Amino acid sequence: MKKIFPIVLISLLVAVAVFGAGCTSSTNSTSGSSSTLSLAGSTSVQPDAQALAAAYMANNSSVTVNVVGGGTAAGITAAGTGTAQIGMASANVTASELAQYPNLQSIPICVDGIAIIVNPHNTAVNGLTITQVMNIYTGNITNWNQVGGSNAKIDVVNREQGSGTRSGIQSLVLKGGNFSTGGITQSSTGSVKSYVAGDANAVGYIATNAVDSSVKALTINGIAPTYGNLANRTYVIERYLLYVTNGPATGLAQSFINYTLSPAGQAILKSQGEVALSDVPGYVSPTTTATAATTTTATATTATTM
Amino acid sequence: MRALRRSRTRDARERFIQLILLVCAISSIFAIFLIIVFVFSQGVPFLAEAGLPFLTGSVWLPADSFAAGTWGIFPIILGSLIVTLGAVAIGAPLGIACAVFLAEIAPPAIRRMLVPSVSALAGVPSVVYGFFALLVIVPWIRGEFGGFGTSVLACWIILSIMILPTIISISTDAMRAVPREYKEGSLAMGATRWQTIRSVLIPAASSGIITSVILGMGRAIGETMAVLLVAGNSVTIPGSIFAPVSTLTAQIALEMNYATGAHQQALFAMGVVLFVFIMILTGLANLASRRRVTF
Repeated sequence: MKKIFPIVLISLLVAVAVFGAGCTSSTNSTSGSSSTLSLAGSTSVQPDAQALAAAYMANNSSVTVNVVGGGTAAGITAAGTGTAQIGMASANVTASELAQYPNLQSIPICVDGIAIIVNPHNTAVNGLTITQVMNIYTGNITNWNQVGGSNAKIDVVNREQGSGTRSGIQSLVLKGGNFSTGGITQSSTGSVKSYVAGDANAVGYIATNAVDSSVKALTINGIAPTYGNLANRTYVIERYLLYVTNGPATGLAQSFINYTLSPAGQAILKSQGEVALSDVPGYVSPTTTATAATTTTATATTATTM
Repeated sequence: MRALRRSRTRDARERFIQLILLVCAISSIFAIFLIIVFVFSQGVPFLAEAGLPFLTGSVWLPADSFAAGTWGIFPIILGSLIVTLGAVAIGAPLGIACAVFLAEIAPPAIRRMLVPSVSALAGVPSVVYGFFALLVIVPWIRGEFGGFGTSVLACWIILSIMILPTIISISTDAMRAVPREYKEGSLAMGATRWQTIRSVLIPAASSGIITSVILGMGRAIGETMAVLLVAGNSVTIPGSIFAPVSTLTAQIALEMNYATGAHQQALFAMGVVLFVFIMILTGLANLASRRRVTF
C-alpha cells in the first residue's frame, strides 16, 4: 500500500497536468496569439506556402508561420473550425462544406497545372489527347498500343479519394465521371512520382511543378505543360490554388494573404513553378467578395508587407 | 480479542488495497470502453442507414453526403481476409517450425543468437517493413510476374515476416512448458526425435500454438502502414495474387485525412467491421488457450 498510493497519486496528477495543459494550450491557439499564423491543407499548395512563409518570416522576425499538410478537405475543415487561420486548397470549396461553414471565402493565389506523367522509358508515347486521358482513367483504354505505344497493359496510378489533384483530374479530364477501379492508389504526389519512375508501363498525374527528370510529362492535345502554356491557358488541365478563410481575414492572416498576392509573393510562387496571377491574361477573381474585403483592409497592413 | 481487532484492521487494509487495484483495472477498461463507444457511436448510425449493401456492395465511391455516394466495401473486406489468411498460411508453418527448432533442437549457442534476432524482428517499425517491401519486394514482383508489383503477394510476403515474432515467441514458450516426462516417456518407448515432436510435443503445446497463430492473425489484419505502401489500395476484388488489393485498415488510413460528413462516418463504419473481426479473433484465441490436450 505504501508503494501503490504514491503511484496512483502521481499518475492522477500527471493525468490532470496533461489534460489541463492540453486544454489551456488549445484555447490559446484558437483565440489566436498575435505572432503565430497557421496554414493547413492541400499538399499541392504546401511547398508554395512553405516558401512564402520562409520569406515572410525573414521580413517579420517576430512572426511564426506554421504550414502543415493534410489535404484539401482537411484544410477547408481547419479553416472552418478555426484550427488554422488559413486553409490551403487545390479544389474549390464544395457545396456541403459551404453549408457547414457558410462564411468560407476562397482567395485564388496562383494557377497550377496537373501533368500527366509516364516513365521516361516509354519513348513511343509523348502526348495524349484529353479524350485519351479520360478513356485511360475511366478504363476504356487499357493497352498502350491503343494510344500509339507498345503492346503493354497500362498501369494506371491514382491518388486517393479526397485529394485535390484527384478531384482536379475528375472535374477537368473526366468531366465529373468516375475513375475505373483497375488502377492502384498512391497517397501522395511523391509516391505517385516514384511509382511511375519505377514502372515502364505506368501513367500517373502530379502537379506540374513536381515534375522532374525521373518522369516524363506528356503533351495534352499537343500542348506541353510549360509556364507559358499554363499562363495563356492553352494547357487545359489546370486549376487555381486557393487560400480559404472563415469570413474576411484579419490581422496576421490578412497580412500574409496580402504578401502572397503582392509582386514579391507572386515572384516566389513563380519560382516554385506556379503561374502568377498577373501572368494570366484577363484574370478576374472568381471571388469578388473576398478581394473586396482584401482591398479594404489592405491599406492598414501594406506597410508591413511591402 | 487483540487478535480479532488486528484481523479487522488487516481486513480493512486488504479491502482498501483491493479497491485501489480495482480502480486501476477499471481505468484501463475505461479507455477501451471509450474507444468502443466512440467508434460505434460514429459508425453504427451509418451502418444502420446503409444496411446490408454496405457489406455486400462492390462499388466504393464515397462522397460528403450519403445520397451522393455509393457505399460498398465488400472488396475491401475480402481484401483484408485474403491478405490476412494468406500471410498466416505462409507465416504460421515458418514460425512453428522455427519454434520447434528453438525449443527442441537448437544448441544453446545458436538459441542465444536466434532469440534476440526474433525480438529484433518484432521491434522493427511497420513503416520500415513497408518501405523495404516497396523498394525490394514490389519491384521484384513487377519484374518477375508483370503487373503493378503492389499486390496481394507483396502483402503476403511482408505480413508473413511481420507476424513471425508473435508466432515464434508464443509457440516456443508453449513447447518449452510441455512437461519433460511426456518427451522422456515418448523417447523411452523407442520413438524417434521427429516422432516425439510430431506426436507428443506439438499436440501437447497445441493450445499455445493455436493462440500464437490467432494473435499473429490479429497483427496481420490490424497492420496498416506496411500494407498501405505495398497493397496498391485498389478497391476491386483481386483477380490474381499479382493484382492490387485494398484492406480495411489501409483504406481508412488513406482516406481519413480528407473524409468529411457521410464519408467520415463510413470510415468509422469500416472501423466497426474491423472491430468485429478482431473481437471474433480474440474470442477464438481465448477459446483455444482454454483447450487442454490429454493423453
